[in-house]
Amino acid sequence: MLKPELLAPAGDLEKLKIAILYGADAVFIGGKEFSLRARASNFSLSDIKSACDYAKLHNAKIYVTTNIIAHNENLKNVDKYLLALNECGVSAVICSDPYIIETARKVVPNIEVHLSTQQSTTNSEAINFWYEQGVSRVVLARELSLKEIKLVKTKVKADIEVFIHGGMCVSYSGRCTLSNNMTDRDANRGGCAHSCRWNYRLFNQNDEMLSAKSGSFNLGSKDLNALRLIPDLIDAGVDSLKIEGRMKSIHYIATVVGTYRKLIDDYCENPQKFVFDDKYFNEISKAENRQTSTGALLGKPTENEQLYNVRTETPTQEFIGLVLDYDELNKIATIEQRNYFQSGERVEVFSPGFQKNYFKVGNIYDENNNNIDIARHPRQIVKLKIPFPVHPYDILRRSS
Amino acid sequence: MLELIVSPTSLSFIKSCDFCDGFIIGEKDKGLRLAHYFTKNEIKEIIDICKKRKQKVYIAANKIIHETELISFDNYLKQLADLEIDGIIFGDLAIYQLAKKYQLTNKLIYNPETYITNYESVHFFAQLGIKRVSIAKEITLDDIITIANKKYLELDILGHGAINMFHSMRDLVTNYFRFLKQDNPSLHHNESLYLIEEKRADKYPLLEDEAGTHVFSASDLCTIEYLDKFIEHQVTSIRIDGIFKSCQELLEITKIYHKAISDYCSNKNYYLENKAKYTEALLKIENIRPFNDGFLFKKTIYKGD
Repeated sequence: MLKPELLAPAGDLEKLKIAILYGADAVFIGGKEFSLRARASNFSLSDIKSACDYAKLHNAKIYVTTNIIAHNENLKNVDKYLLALNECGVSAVICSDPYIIETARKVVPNIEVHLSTQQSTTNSEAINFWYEQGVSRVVLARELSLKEIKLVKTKVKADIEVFIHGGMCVSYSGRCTLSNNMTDRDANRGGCAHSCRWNYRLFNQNDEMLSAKSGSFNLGSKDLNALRLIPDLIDAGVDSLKIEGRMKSIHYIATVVGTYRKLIDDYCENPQKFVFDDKYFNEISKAENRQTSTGALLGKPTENEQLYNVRTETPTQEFIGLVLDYDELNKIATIEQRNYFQSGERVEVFSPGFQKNYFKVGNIYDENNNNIDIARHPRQIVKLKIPFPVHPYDILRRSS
Repeated sequence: MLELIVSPTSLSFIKSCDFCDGFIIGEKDKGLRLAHYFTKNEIKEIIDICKKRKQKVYIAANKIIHETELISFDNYLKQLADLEIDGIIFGDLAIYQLAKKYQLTNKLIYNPETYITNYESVHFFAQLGIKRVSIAKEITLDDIITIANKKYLELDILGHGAINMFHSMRDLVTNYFRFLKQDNPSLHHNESLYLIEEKRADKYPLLEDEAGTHVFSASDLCTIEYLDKFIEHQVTSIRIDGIFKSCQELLEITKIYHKAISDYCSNKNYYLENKAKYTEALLKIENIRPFNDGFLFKKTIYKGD
């Protein structure tokens, strides 16, 4: 059985390290140029170099999104930028503009070109078109069902990448200009204002309002969660499973990546004996604060995949701290506080490998070893006793 | 000279419009967002009419194609190969792959709505040997001119009509009423509805059909005062889109564009000096949809912060 790649997002170097430690085989990041998701804290070239160096040490790969649909003035220096990415040690660029694709093949032939989902590729002929242009992998449109993915996979030479978790466009990606028209911000050049999630009223030609008086008509989609379909996607031979969310927190990245890593490994270890367990869902719900669904994977989305109810779910467990260091001799952990916590609280430590351990917070000390009982300041560095070994980048969650 | 191409509202429109240079026609399940869909027999009839009148026929096969539809598009192209048509408008690159088999590459017009925004993309498609590309509606006149000046390939742009700004495969109206557990008060398909966003006054036409849900700009794009630029820089064709228009409205609009182009050709200065009059004439059309110059002079914001 082919074990697919688990591909995770990262908005900065810390998130990137977390993604790799918690089990991502590859991480996609945005540079300062030519990338969508402009508001995701994007990587400078020297950050990209550090990312590639770190990834190499952990046998992981770095992909860089250069996926804008360029305007004339964005065409300058594409070649130089690609050469610089090559110097950094990037394994692939994720593109949608034909010129950027063409240039990448020409100037950095050893870097793979992956076709972004922004091209909304929905069939094998279109995939073969891009394959003939030198594109080695196609990120499928999020409109495809599992059945279609299976069928497509049998007819193409290009690698296939499928979104499994995170935000969804409700429109065919790359073909939506709500943002351009409503806010002048260019959706295909990093400015998407998420206008599909705004509130609308719906009328007919006689100006009669059809939408509910109490609520509003909404175009937006629930986020994607394909946990239950991972075994099918692996069976279909999908080459890469992609988690979306370069703006997400380290808690989210650690939890979602860690859970999918565990699920993929569990299934591949013994597909015949694998039984789906709710523990995967339960784990992700600790960090997930948006409503999720299976998108189009089980067929054309219905009302159940739409985001009418804007109530956001709160994660069941709160991220209270990140382990920076551990003194094994004295069993003292150095923690960076991420949410208020105090002595006496029960804490879950979530570590790479889907490991979970529990302890009760005893005395808390600040950096000058003053006993403080409450860690109340954001990003405050505190020390506390943890009876078992912990490691940098382990996650502390408040446990009920 | 600049071709004036219309996507018509009916067969009778075509019969009465003998002065434009061509029509965009298509069938259900193959074409997207057309003002009217024709049957195979009607298409043959239209080809005959147009041949006699020396008008061009462009077939819209611009659907986003899912895997199981490939076979029917393959058959469709095979049929089109036997018809005397001037072009095939497509939005999914599968068509390019399939069309090779039937030697149709040189009839292909790529219109992916939003993707053709720079001259290098045009160059990329020129290398593929296709006939023409349609430039995105979301770029400026200066950008259009820069692209046109490269002369890489024939260019088509929207001349007058609604800008499609959203296409979802989902039946968003149907889904919404299912969520409310109410009967859908709109006819399931093809009744044009509109949306108003809570902080805005604009009315955005919305259409749910077999291909999903489409949302359009509140105002039509109108280029009547910039035809000189298109002609000077050798843009090949402009489209007048009949969607959301009555036969009469579309006919009047087409007449005014036709007159403007003819005026320019016979007396350039007359056109240049009377630009405002064409706009005034458009405004006089009964119930004409609001129009403006779209993105021609409005550069969209890169990145967005």
